[in-house]
Amino acid sequence: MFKILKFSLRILFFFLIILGCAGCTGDIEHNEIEGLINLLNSGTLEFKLYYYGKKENLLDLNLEYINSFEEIIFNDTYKNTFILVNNLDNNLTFEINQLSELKTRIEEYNYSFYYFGNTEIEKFYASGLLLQERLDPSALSFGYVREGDRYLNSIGTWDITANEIAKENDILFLELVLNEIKYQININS
Amino acid sequence: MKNVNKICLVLLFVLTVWSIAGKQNTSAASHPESSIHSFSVETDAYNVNWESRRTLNVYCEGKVKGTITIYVGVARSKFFLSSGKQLSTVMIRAIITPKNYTYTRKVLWWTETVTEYGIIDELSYNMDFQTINAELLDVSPKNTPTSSIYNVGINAGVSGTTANGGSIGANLGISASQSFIANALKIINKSDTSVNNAGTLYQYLFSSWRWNWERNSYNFYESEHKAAYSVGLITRQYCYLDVKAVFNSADSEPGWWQNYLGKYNSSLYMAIIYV
Repeated sequence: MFKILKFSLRILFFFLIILGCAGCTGDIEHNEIEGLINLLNSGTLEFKLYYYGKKENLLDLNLEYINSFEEIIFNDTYKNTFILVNNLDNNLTFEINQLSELKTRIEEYNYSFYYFGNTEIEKFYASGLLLQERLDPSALSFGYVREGDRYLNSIGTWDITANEIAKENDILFLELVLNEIKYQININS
Repeated sequence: MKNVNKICLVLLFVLTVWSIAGKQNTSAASHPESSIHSFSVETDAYNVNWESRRTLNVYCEGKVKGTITIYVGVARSKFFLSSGKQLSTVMIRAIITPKNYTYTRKVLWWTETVTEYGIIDELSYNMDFQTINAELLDVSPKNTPTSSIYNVGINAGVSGTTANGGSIGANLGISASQSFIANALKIINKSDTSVNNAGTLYQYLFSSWRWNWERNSYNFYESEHKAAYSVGLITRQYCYLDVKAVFNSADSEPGWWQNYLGKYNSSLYMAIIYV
């Protein structure tokens, strides 16, 4: 009888240890994406984000959806202003003049511009927003961003995001956008 | 009248000295575009371009485990080699940022969230210049230095100051330096000039002793690498730069309790460079 009780206590003790360990592991939860969103939404980084095109899961990131470039307000209100154009569904078309004008305003007000998509590329090249005639084969996006005293293209690996990993993790697009925005804010701060 | 002549002579002398001094300063100074990414390229360069930043992400469980931010610049020499080729030097600066990532998994009847920490294992570059009929002339760095700083140094200029038709090794000094943890990194020059293939491998070495904190922490935090490759080519062309990164994982931040998980993930980025 005593042996059975002792054995039961051992089993109970063992399970308590397992449950305790599992609980501790669960408490470790650290969500970098939520942390980044909270940081950006807190207002301390003085940023504004315009979003145009295909909708993605962007959680509760503070942004303004637009339906055309005319809706963008160019002023000096925010230290960092980003324009994101998502054309991964190929639904948007542009005019070279429209993009050239956009480029001029972007440079005048130090905005950052990002394009996601593999169509209309030649128009971006003609407008000067894309500096390289040939894009890298793994790149489905580029940015036109100020670093130091000049603008350059930032080129990412978004094809994996859009076509493969997004199926398993639909907020990876957001994660990469947030990391890019954070990087851009940091190097220009 | 004699005084006027004397004044003119003095003025001429002052102007001459000023002009020579000015020229000396100019030749020693860096090209204004070069210092952006902590490379130094002498003003003898015809042009220096840093026109793009590329991002290489390494994924694990659908999350970003590590990011390599790559800046690629090209410096061109003013003069031509006797073979008629022009000289271009590709400068690469890579910033390695390991990241922690979380994912969920089922354990018996409950779901737990696991946090793991990306650590860099390897970074490598490869450029096959043979495919564009370019001649690989110099590479830097060439090996692992024994001190905690390595220097990138190439004399990517053409001998003969005023005319085309010299040989490589004069003027247009291109240099950079990079500090690192000496016993935690191995630099291997994979270049082969006989086939005009350029390559550099940065290997982060793990310590077999848990309390070698400096060495164990180096692959966990942000680090940076630089390299330069000089080539001779007839006309400017697009060339592939392959950047490969391998990340491992650890179950915690650096400390005596940290375990390496042996979860290797790699990613390859093919950048197109206008050399």
